[in-house]
Amino acid sequence: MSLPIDGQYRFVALNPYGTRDEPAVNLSIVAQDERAAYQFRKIWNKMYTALKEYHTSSNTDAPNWTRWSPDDWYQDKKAADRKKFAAWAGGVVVGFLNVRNAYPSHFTPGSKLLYIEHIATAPGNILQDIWGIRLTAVGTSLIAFAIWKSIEFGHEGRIGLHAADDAAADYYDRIAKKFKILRLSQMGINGTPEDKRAVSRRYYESEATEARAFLEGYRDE
Amino acid sequence: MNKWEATNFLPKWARTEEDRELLSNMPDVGVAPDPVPSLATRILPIGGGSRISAATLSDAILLKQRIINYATYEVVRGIDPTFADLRKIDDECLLLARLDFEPFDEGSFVIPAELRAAPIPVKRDGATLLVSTTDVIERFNEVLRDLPDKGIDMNVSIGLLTEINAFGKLLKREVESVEFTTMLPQETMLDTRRKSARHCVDANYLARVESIRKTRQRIQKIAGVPLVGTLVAVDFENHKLKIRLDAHAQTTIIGTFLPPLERSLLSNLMKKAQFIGTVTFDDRTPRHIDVVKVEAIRDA
Repeated sequence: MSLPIDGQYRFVALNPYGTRDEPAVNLSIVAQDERAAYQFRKIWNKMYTALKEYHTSSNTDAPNWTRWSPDDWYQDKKAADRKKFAAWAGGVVVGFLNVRNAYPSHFTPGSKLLYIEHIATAPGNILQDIWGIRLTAVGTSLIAFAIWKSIEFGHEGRIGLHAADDAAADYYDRIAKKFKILRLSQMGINGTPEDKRAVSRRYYESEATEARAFLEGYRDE
Repeated sequence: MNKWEATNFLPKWARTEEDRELLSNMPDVGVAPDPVPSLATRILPIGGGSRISAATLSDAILLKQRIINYATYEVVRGIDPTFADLRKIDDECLLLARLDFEPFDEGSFVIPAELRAAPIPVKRDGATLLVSTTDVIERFNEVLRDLPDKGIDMNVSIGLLTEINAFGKLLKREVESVEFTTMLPQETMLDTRRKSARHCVDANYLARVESIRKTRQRIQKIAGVPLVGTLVAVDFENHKLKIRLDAHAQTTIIGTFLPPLERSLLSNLMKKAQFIGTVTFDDRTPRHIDVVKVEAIRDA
């Protein structure tokens, strides 16, 4: 397998069970293909189902992401501008990233950005009552990868996204303070044409310099 | 080839324990598109078995589609309690009612199905409304949820009742119960009155439906029926009355009336008169009348 370095950057996931010398695993982030879709369909969907069944049996609410459908998004041909990436750790899809190119920047008028439509780590990387965590920080690497792609698309590293819910917004507020990957949040910003409720959710955008500084943290020196 | 490649590389932010803690568990970003209204059916074989016959499986699928056909007809064309003819459901309704079956979940008899049809415009009271598959699922939920409690007062077509009742043949064969789980788009679910739901159709539920269906078949409401009798009591406050009928072995029936009839009822109190209105028959015997007109009968 070729070393999963995209340009001069190395994207990794942290391995909670790794050793001091090997605390992480390399990620290869590439365009989604049938192999990735197969894993969405045959592994992720079944994990969603298993978790939903568990919550049904315990009379609790399953997380919202169990309703996600990465395989459908992969198959969907309507959103022609959607660019779809999968993060692989060896032969396992451990996360995915769907982005839309050239959305208007709300904080740098006249500029464009890469809009993050979906980022998800694999269900097995999210601690649940019925399973433990496999890898962490997949989403963070995908954010860094998105910044790198934004540069490649000529948007200087600007990315934008809507927080899925209040809990996610709290998370972004916290990391906005500390790392300045994403900052400012406001409501009333449109998302993708398919997401009618985006205007009622908080919107975050990176400032180009700060985003590139975050990406530099992934430089393989 | 397929093994993870471990590395000692850590991104800058992960080089301190505190930052690693903070950044490692980034929440998923993005929102699933509104789910398409869907209806999953879980067939629970008797004794927790893991096999059912093709006949049971196909019956369950067909019944589910027929119930949705009726529910669709009711939301699009209105509820007609006497309606029971699937052949009269028009193509537009059938298109809205179309269930698209998804792959079955392995290891169980869960039959997921989605209603993907686009909304259709329906003219009602001079206005044009859009009726969507969400409305269909909501009607399905309403009927399955309210039927046992409302009983014969549930405004539902006899055809739909009959189809629900037909699940009884599955229960007679090899099924302990059938569970329906509906899923509605999230924006609808924000309204707590319009929630996704789960309904369990088992022997108790079906016994209740069968009793309602039999009563419904026995009891009929017919408008414009004239009844001749003596008005024996009137409650002007609550607009209720009692009439002793000339026919039907001088049965006394109760009823209601509209306020404009007060004067003519008063003048006919304890007199023989003809009362015209919507009459509820129980096996051909009048039991109730909603009076809309009173005509005095003069003795010859």
